[in-house]
Amino acid sequence: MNCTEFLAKLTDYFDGQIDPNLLAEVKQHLCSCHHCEVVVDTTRKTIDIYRGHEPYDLPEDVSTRLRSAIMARCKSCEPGKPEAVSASKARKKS
Amino acid sequence: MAAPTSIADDLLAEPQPAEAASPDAPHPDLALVARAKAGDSAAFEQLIKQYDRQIFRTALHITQNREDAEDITQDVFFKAFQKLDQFQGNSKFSTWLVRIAVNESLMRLRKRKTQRTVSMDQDVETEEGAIPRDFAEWRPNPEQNYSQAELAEILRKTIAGLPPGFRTVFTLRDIENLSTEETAEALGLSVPAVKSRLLRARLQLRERLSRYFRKGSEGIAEAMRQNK
Repeated sequence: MNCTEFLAKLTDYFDGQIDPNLLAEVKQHLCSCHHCEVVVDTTRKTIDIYRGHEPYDLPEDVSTRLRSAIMARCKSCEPGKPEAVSASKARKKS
Repeated sequence: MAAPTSIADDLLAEPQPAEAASPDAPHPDLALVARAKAGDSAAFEQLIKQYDRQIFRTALHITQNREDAEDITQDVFFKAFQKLDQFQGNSKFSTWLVRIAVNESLMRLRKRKTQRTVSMDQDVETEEGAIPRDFAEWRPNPEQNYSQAELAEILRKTIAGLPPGFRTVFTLRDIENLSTEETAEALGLSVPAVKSRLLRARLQLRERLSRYFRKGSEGIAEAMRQNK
C-alpha cells in the first residue's frame, strides 16, 4: 500500500469501517511511513479539538427567547396548517 | 444537487431510512412527535429544547452569521411544526430537522451571495486539501497553549475558511456526530460523496490548524495576545 492508497482509506479507517483484510495493510503502511503517521495523528487531533471545543454555543437566554418566539408562532396555527411568515419577515414587521 | 429555491414538500418528505429504527426500541422522540401532532404544545416545546442547539450550530456553521442562524432556527422548528404530519418516524426526528436546517441555511447563503450559486456541489472539483502537504508533528495537547477565547477564535476562523459543502459535511459528521448515512440523508448526497467531502474537510482543517499547533509554534499564541 502506498500513501495515495492509504489516503483513500483514511475516512474508513477513522470511522472504524475498514475491511479487516485492509486494516492489516493500513497498519503496516503506518509503521513504515512517518508522514502518514503524522497525518493520522494530527487529523485525529483536529477532530478531537473541534468535538471538545464547540466554537458556537447557543446562550441560555437566546435559547429561551427563540423558543418563546417559535411557540408563539406555532400558536397561530395547528400542526399541518400552513402559515408562511418567516422569522426574518416577522422581525421586520415588529 | 441543484441549489434549493424553496423548502418544497419533497424536501420535508422523509427519504428512505439508511438505518431503520428497531421496532423493538422506538426512539423516545416518536412519542413526543405523536403528542405534538395531537396538539400537545408542551411536547413540541420539549423537542425544541432537545434540538435547538444542534439546529442553531448547524445553521451558524453553514451561514457564519449569528442573526441568520437565529432566524433559521425559528423557521426550522416552525416549518417542522407545520409539516409534522409528514414525519412518519422512518428516520430520526433530529435528522429530519437537520435536513430542513441545511436547506434553509443554503437558501440564506444563496440570497446573501447573489453573484454565485451556493449548493452542496460547490467546490467539489477543487483539489485543494486533497493531498497533505504539512507533515509537522503537533505538540502534545496543543490547544492548551491558548486561552478558551483564543482557541474559539482559531477554530471559528479555520472552519469558516472551508468551502460551504465541506464545512457542512464536517459539521454534521464530526461535530454533531451524525453517522455517514445520516449525513448523506440530511444533505441529499450519496455515502461515497459524503466520505470524499469529509476526507477533504478533515485534511484542510488539519493543514490550517497546523500553523497554530505544530511544534515550535508557541510564538503564535504570544503574537495573538500582543496584537489585541
